[in-house]
Amino acid sequence: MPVYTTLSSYTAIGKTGVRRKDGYEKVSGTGLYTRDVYLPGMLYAKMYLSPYPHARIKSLDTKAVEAYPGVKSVFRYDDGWFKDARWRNFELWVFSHQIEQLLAQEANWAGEPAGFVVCADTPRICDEALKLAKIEWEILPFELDPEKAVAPNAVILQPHVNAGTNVRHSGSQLFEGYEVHGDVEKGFAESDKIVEFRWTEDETTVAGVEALSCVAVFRGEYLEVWAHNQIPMRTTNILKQYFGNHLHIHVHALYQGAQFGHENWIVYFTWFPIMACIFAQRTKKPVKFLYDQSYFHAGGYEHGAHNLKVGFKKDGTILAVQDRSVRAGAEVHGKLWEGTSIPHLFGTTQIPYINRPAAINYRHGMRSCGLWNNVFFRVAAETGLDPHVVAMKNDGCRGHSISWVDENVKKPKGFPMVNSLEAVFKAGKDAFGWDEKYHAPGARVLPNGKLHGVSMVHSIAWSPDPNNYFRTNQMGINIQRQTPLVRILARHADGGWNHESTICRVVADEIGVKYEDVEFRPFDDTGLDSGAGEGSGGLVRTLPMAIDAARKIRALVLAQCTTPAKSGTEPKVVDVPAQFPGLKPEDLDIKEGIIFEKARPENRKTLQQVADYHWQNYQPFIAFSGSQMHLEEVYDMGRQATWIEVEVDPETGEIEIKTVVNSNDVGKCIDPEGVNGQQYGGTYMGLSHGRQDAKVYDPATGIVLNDNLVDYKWFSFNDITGPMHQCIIESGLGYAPYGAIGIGESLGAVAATVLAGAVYNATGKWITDFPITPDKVLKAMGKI
Amino acid sequence: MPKESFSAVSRRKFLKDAGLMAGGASMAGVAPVTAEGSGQTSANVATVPLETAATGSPRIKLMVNGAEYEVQVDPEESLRDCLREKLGYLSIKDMCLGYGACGSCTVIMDGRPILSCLTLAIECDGKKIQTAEGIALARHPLIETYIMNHCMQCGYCTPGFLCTSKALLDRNPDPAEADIREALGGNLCRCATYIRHIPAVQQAARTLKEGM
Repeated sequence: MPVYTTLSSYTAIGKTGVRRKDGYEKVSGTGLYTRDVYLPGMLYAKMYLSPYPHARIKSLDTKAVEAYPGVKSVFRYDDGWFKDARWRNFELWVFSHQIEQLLAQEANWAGEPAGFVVCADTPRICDEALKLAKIEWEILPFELDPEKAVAPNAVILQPHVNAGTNVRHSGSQLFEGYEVHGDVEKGFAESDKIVEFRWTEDETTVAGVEALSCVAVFRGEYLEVWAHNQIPMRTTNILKQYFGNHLHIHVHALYQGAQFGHENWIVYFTWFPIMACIFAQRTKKPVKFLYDQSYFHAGGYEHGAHNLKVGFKKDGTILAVQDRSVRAGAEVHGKLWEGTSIPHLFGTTQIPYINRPAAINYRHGMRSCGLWNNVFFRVAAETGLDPHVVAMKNDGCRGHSISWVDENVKKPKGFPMVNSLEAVFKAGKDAFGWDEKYHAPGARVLPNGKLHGVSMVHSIAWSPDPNNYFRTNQMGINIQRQTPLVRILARHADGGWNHESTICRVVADEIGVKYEDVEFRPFDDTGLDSGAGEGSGGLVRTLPMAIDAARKIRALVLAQCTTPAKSGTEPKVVDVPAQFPGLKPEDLDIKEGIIFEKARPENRKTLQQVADYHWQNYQPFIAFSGSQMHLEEVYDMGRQATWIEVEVDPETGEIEIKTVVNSNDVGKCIDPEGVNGQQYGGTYMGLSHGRQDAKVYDPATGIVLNDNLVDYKWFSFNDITGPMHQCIIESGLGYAPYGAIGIGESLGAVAATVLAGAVYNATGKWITDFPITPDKVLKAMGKI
Repeated sequence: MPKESFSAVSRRKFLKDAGLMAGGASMAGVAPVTAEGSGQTSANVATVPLETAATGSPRIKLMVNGAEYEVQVDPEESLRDCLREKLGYLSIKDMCLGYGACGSCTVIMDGRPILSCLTLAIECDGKKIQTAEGIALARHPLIETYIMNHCMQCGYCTPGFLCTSKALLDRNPDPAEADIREALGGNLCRCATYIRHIPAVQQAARTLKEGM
């Protein structure tokens, strides 16, 4: 038996042309986002933002702020509310380079909320009042470069935390990420060739779309919050810590304007609601807390630098990879271990404090795929082998070959005996026309004078280990007398990838009703948290619950249809004759909302009729699930690949993206349009990171120079001018129900560094300092 | 170093700092002549409050989605703020915070798609405006083709795309891919739904043609 659940046939699942559940609200503009929440009498709050990358407030005079007409309340860093010092600190995971505090006295990056917050009648009054504070700053030294921060003579940026180094602590230990497998020195000794090189990536930002906000209002013992974040349950728990467990807290998460993951925003989706609630409590009014600059200051990929050493055989077999990296964020080497047969791996990541805002990852990390891509690019180039050959040669899981995975994972656990990478390559390579387009580096000049280049990258198509997910997952399903027939009861934050429609497809097929008759409104605070939201874990964690609840309610319906019962309570106990007397549940089936006898299909009733009958007889159809997958070990066996064709202008250094092909093994495709939407989105976002996304800092002042959408350019429609082709592979090799594999995160990360190989193929020059801007191309070509 | 030197100056901020409005505190009043097609309400969320504090500010007339309004506006007030915050047309978004860089505030004014964040409300006296809500209420075929082609993910930018596409179809009933790319080139979508808008616009064009 497979480790995952299956159905004998699929109707809504996998069907194209299915109407999005959120479609009308989003296209018509009638869907609500947190910024769209307006309450009668609502006040507004805004924060003071540090003008310095590293400075401490020596004195703060807010008298003029408090006296400004329309100002209702001012909250300072030295407010008595901080009676417990623990309330101030929100350490942003162990990954982060940054210390984040709830309204700091010391600012650690330019633009960091610090000093005080003002609450007033209008946002405009807030803006005016924020200018009136008199602040005396102690200017402190700053460092923007992680590598310089770990250099021997670096200025210590957080001496009160780390006395002798900028490398941050994890508990009492210096934090350095390690990924060590095998014996890397042995691998190098057995290699035919060793190459050493370096790659770096600059800090990027989400740069959009809906700037953060939070609305809070106290209604007696009830606290109601509209939070702009992807995990409303966590916000509820945080607020209970700060405002008391006695409060009845209801957190609504409306539609979310493009967040791309929650981890970047932990600080903001925790202390934002706290600050909104403080003002709501003090002013006894609804308060909308606004952080207009958040979309540049919060969230993004971190700056990182990698020093790589790769040992390999002439036939392309990679034996050892060593990477010593310094990053302003997380450890990066896991993916290379999870999805290859490379036996020897040694990776370290130092994470120092620097004076940039916290950045972990969104749409998962370019970091890990960047490492992967750079290793494979180089080995293919150094051996002169086709990149597909090198990819197939090193395919595997955790240092094991694919044949080992076949025997030890697929066969015993009931997975299909298919080779994902082979299937992915077969579809995508032909669609791209690789064999006709691939050439030696720098060998093809086009009639227009531009240099033609192609490249391919592959990676694992990943779903995270479900055991790593700690949040409660609950879901209910109610079959109603009225429209909609089937209502899913659970709260989650919409992430844009059509999760609601996906769940509705699954529930429809599992119960046997039409997709159109199933409704899932994500905002409702039902007291149940589906835990869904994050694309990385959505399928793995949410589908089992949805399926379990659907199967429970299907079983309940069939049981009640065939079993006479007494229902109600004295004195109103009623006899409830069976709707299908003399039959057993297994004699019945449900399709398209019709319950019928299998042997005599004309013996039928609509589910709506049955639900109405049982509702009137005190037997409502409702079922709940709190299930979660528990897997001992997960092997990422699905693969994906991206092919790209570019033209490089040797005079300007500009890279024009002509053709893109993605081939993605999604295991089981539940929502084809959603899958393609993620592929298109990931391609644009990834290539934008590879070619142009970057925050530009003034090295003299430590201030971001392009913190607006005029100066920070991410890909628009016409940044990819040629055709984009999508191939969807369904191998059934995922651990999610039906063998599904996540897609939301991976492509954006995979595509980010594909340009390096294409530019090498076009110019014969390696540029591995991302983004690959025209000046870097010209410099590599010796033009400047 | 100046306190706000890390942030460039948006048009909105420039107008605001230019001191065109004393105190900068009040919200102008609004007198809906007819309320049909105005902003939405929700079970959880109240509609935008219509305050009537301002005095002395000029009044303008607007025809929005077929509904007439007479509104007091401040001299520096953007059309976006007027439509969204006073009249409740919440489809009008503000991704770029007033820089005119994203297209999420696009509305159709007298047949042309305009950036409402860069348009002064006071210059719009007597204008006819259509927002995404109005396009939906009119059951324009773009609504269904946008839904069926998944022209949205998070959806924050989608109403702006819709307005631009509708204005394109109004002036070009049979747009080629290049026309659509050119028209929508100024609308930003971080989820990058771009490609999906091509079949959506062309399918709507066919529906309109067949309906004629």
